[in-house]
Amino acid sequence: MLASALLVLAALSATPPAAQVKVVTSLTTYGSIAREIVGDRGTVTSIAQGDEDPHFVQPKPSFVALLRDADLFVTTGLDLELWVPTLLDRAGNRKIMEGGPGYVAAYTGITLLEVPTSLSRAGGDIHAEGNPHIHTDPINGIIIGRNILTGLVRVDPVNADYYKARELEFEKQVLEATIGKELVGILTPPTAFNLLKTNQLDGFLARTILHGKPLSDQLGGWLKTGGVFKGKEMACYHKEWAYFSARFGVTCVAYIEAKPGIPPTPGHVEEVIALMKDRQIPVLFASNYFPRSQIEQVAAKTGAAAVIVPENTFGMPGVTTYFDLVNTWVTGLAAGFGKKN
Amino acid sequence: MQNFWQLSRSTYMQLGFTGIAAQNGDSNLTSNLLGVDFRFTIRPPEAGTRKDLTFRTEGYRLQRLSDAPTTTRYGMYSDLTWRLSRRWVVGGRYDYVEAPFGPEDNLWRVTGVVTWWQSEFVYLRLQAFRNDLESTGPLDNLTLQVVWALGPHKHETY
Repeated sequence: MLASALLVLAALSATPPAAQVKVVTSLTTYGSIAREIVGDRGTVTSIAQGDEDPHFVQPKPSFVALLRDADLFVTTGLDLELWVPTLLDRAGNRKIMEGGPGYVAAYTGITLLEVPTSLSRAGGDIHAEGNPHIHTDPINGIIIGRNILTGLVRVDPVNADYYKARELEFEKQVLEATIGKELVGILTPPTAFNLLKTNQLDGFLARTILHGKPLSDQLGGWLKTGGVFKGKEMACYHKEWAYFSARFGVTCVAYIEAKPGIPPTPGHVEEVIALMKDRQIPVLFASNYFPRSQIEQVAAKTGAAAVIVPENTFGMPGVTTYFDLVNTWVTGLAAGFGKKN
Repeated sequence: MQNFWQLSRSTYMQLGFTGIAAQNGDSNLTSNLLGVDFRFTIRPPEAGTRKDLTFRTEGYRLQRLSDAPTTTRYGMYSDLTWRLSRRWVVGGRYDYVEAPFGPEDNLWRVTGVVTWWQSEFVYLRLQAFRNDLESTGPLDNLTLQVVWALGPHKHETY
């Protein structure tokens, strides 16, 4: 234990090399996760802005210049950022092309949700390989961190130990934020991760007794705060919370957008309002790049609380880390559901 | 030559210059064409799908050196496109062009456009313009376009 702690300290305090690794990410959230791992050994820049709809980023020449110089490029790897291939083609940096050593597909190893059974444009802007808003589950945040680490080690093996140590620390912090420091201490980070990844945590905590009490009494962090809305229904603007819903047990039962990516018709909005009233849905959850006035109108007509949050880091002031981001979602929803209870 | 400046988080501009020189097909003399284009866009990232104002303008000067007197002709257009919401886009455009060779003649056109945008795959466009060719007089036109996309989307596997 002491030896491994010394190893981590040694790795963290080693002198940084002159050449700094240049990381570019499609989304600011991937940038924030990369920053946790890169530390002082490089620079991290993101293309989309935090409050921008990641589906519709307008490619600009300045992005091409960024990618031309990049050592590592992190993108979802699915069909969320359809503007990425154009930029990669224009940049002509073979290192970060798909399949190159500096290309990181953040979704690798993540079990995708909402994979369509048929592909038809009649369904709107459907995502052919599944829902790409993967970072809304903090456990996926850990997997994204691991993917970034793999890429960093490939392009900058000299600093591999440094990156590994920082990534391990990031994992531990995410787990502690998710289920509480005490519980992570009891379970150890690898066990906690495996239980969460395989969705077995609830059952394990309920049937495991420690000092005469169920281990679930030790649950803390976001999952404890999220207990306020676990098992409840909410309305959402767009299908971007699938992974969050699965992790926290809160379901989007109505969407302002009838079909992803297609602006809602007034008739559909009225149907959603009727459904929300009928089922007494207490919260409307939406990203802040959707029309605020429309969200607030629907909330006002239904008596629901409008919880409007950034989907990515830097999407609002004070949300700079992945922890800030998930915290904003969880506390925002808890407050929204709390108002209605 | 294209130049691009990000002026703020929501605004950017582009300035381009074009130059072409070539020998005339009917003599050893040359024609040269100089063009300048400018674009200015306001597009707040947080509302990029709903608010967008783009102004574009381009002008050119064509000089034709020939055995007949040298002719110099000009042309330009200016275009303003304003996305009012996710569904509605309005725009206006002014064109002016001089006949590139032959007797002097010029044409101007004023165009107004309203677009109803259902999605990136379907939109309706109503366009009205008044054309005025110096030699033949004015012409008014009203067009309704229905534009739709067929076939697989870029990312789809069929």
